[in-house]
Parts: sequence; C-alpha cells; structure tokens
Amino acid sequence: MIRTSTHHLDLQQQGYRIRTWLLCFILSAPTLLSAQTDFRAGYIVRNADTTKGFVAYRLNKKNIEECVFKESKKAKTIRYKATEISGFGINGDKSYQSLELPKDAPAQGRVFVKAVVRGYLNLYQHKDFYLLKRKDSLITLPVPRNEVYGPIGDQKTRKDSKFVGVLTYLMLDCPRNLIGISYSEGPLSKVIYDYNKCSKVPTSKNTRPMGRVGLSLFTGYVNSTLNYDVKNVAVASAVVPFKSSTVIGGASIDLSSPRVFDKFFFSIEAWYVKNFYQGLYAANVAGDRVEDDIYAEFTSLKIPFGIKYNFRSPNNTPYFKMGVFWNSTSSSSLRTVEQKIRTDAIYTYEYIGGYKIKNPKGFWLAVGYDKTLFGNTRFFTEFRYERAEGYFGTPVVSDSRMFSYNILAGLRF
Amino acid sequence: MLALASCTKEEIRPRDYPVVMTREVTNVSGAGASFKAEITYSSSAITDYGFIYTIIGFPTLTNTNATKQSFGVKAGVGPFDYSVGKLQVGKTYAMCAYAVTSKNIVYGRTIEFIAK
Repeated sequence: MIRTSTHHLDLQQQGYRIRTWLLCFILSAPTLLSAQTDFRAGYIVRNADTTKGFVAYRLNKKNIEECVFKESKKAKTIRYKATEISGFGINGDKSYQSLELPKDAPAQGRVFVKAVVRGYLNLYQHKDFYLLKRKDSLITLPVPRNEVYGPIGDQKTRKDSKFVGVLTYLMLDCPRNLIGISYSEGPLSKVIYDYNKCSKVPTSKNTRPMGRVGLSLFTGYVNSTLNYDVKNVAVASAVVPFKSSTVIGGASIDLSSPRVFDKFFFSIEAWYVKNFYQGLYAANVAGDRVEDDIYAEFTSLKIPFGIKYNFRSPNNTPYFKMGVFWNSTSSSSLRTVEQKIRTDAIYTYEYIGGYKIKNPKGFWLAVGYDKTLFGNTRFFTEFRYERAEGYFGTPVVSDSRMFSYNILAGLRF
Repeated sequence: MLALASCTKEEIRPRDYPVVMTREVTNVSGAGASFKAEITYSSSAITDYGFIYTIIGFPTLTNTNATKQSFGVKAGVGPFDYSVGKLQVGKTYAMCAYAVTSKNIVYGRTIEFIAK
C-alpha cells in the first residue's frame, strides 16, 4: 500500500542526520556551559589554621592531586598542592590530609590522602592502597599480591594477607575478627571504626552511604514522528508522515554511590506508552493515484536505561542524561483508509492490519533540572530527545524510523 | 505507574475532494435495513450526497440497476443515515455512501449484506 522512491528516502535520511546532529548539539550545549566546577562548603587547614570557604567537589583521584579552593563564591580559585596545606575537606563529606608517604608505600612524596576513619587509629587511602596512623607512626597497609603455594606440580596462586597481620598487630589491645577481611574501604573502615570505639577515643568516618537507591514517578508529553519506508518499491511519498502526541506515565530507579561521587547515577525506567499515529501517504499505481490515510495505535512498555550526571550538588541542579531504550509492544492496531483516484470517480477502501510490527529500540539524550521541595523529595523537569527504529518491520529488518521529543515532570524520592 | 490516555482522535488531512466513510448496515431483514455514513472532510461544496445500493454489479451512480437515495446539497460535514424498506430475502446487496462536488464523485467503501 505504501511505496517510496529511493531518492526521496535518501533526502529524508539526510534530513534526519542533520536534525539529529543539530539536536545533539543543542542538548549538549547546557553540558558544555555548565561544565564549570561544583564548589561546595568546605575548608582548608594551613599552619594549624582552618580557613572556611568552598572546595571543588571532584572524584577522589582528582582530589588526591590537588585541592581547588575559593574563600567565597565570587573569589578567585586557588589550587593547593599537598606541600602547601595540611588538609582540606567538604562539610559532611570527604576530607583529605597532607602526608609524607612511608618509604615502603607504592607511591612516594608528600601527597593528599583521603581520611577514611579518624580516631585512635586513623585509616587513610591514597590511590589503591591504604595507610594506618597511630600517634606519629604512619604505616603502609601492604597491598595483597599474588603468591604461589602448594607442592611442585600442583601449585596454585592466591592473594597474600600481609595486611591482616599488620592489622592484627596494631589491634592487639582490642582484637577484632579479621577472618576473611578484604582489602577495600568498606570492611577496613568498619573494623577500624569498631576498634576505635573499643579504645574509647572519639572516632568518625564518612557517613555518606556507599549505595543509594532513589525512586522517581513522572508523567510527560511525547510528540513523536514515525517514518515508514518500504525500500525499492515504485513511487511514492509521505504527504503527511505519521505523527503522534500522547501523555505518558512512568517510574524510574536511580542508583548512585554518594560516598564515592554523588553526581553520577545509573537509572532504569519503565514507561507506559500509548501512541496513536496517523499519516497520509500517496503513490501512483497503474495510472491511478492512491492516497492512504493510515491510523496506527501501539500500546507498549518502554524500558529506557542509562546514566545521569548532575552538574551541581544533589539538591538543586541541572543534569544531563543519556542511554538506550527498548520497547515491548503489547498491543497494536492498524487501519488504512485508501482513496483510489480514477478518471471517473474516487473509490474508498478500508484495510485492517497488513504490517509487520516490531519492538522499537533506540537511544535517548536528555537535559533537566532537579529542585528540592522538602527533605529528600525533589521535583524535576526534563526535555528528552529519542531516536529509534519504528514500530514497522521485523525483528531483523526495520522499515521505519522514529524520533520523539518528550517533556517530563515528576518527583524523586 | 500511571495509566494515561493518548490523543486518539482521527484527523483528516487536507485534500481537494470530500472524504466519505460508509459506516455500517444494521437491522437487516426482508423488511429493510439501516444505512449509516459520514462525510468527514470536504474542501468544496457538496452538490449531492446519499446512498447507492444494488444486487447487480457495483453500487455506482452509473449503474442503472442500482438504487440511489439522494439527500441533495450538503452544507458542511457530518453523519447521515437512511432506512431502506422492502429488500429481497436471500439476495446479496452491495451498498455505499457517495458525495458529489463540481469536480469529483467520491464513493465510500462498499459494504455487502444479505437480506434474511
């Protein structure tokens, strides 16, 4: 019923490419504009004096290189090396101390180390190794290395546990259960925090959760265009391509690690989508002009998943999201009203079905803004662009392409 | 998850001829039947419209065996119906709605039914 020329198709595809690139540019513009540093309330310690101000919130691997500090929001940014200050921190979050690494440490010199636990026994992290400090003694916690064991001919490898020996020795006055302990922040900080409590000396550790699950509920308006192209079949064109405007509802789960970096999220969403497309297609067939009004309704569950990056603190922030999605089409109905224009008269025909339906999959890009309402409840609004294979085609071949503009609004908890 | 409705109103795209939809035939018996149709779009004046039905050949204005029920000039678009009486039992009828403008004759889809 629908036919299209390859020339028309080429022009259409060219148009899509230009539109897609233009949109990618528009969507990435806020990213580029907001790519400025996220400064949060914090402090630096210099010559035993604490100066309050704003410290750049960055990943750990950046923080151990240098501290980026401003005394006030409008003040000039100053970068400090570990040789210039004795420490810095972000209020309620990470803190760093400048230390001269021991000779047996995997790195050397004066560097910033992340304070994991403070107290009678202090635990620090620099890159991928840990250090312990009690009074003035700074000890490297040996990084487990592969060791060979067993009789010759049946040798196996395992990680050594020298660090367990060091921990055992340092905690002789209040022994802890170290069986099976791994060389990572979580187990080490727990055991040292517990040891410090036993020693009756005030102790502290970063209380931000290692993992956090957030829930969002949202609704939105979706404007979608579906382009159908049967390749290499005679003449024709879309007089009016398939268009659909619909309201959707959905929920999402956002996973993050506030202790590591609270600006990055992995999100998985579920959308209930009911699209009603209608378009007008025309062809010249055997001397007659044929005009098809096609009405297509698809009900589907859409599963977008991807990543989210907050430009600022979690409370009030613009953000960027991107990912892919997969649509599970649960029901569809198609109706074609065809007008065959002959020299004597115009004849009308109606057809039901006649197309192969597939589950569209594609990618999406989004920009949005999160605003805290109260407590952990935040309002968000988002603009999203999607590009995908359309509903027409087979699991192997897609005969259609789809792009959508979405405006979403909802609540995060 | 919220259950939300989409905009599912069928829109007719602009064109230079009327769009005639033959909707349905109901209450079919030897005593008659009810025809329903609608002109959903028109960009020019409709000089004649109505129904055509026949048991021989196709329901067209040129088929001399067909019966035409004309309603004359129509202002604007909208539905229309007609109750036909006295049908031949056991015969297969073909019917459709039609509309005429100064340039075109447009037939809606043909519906076949058997008078019982």
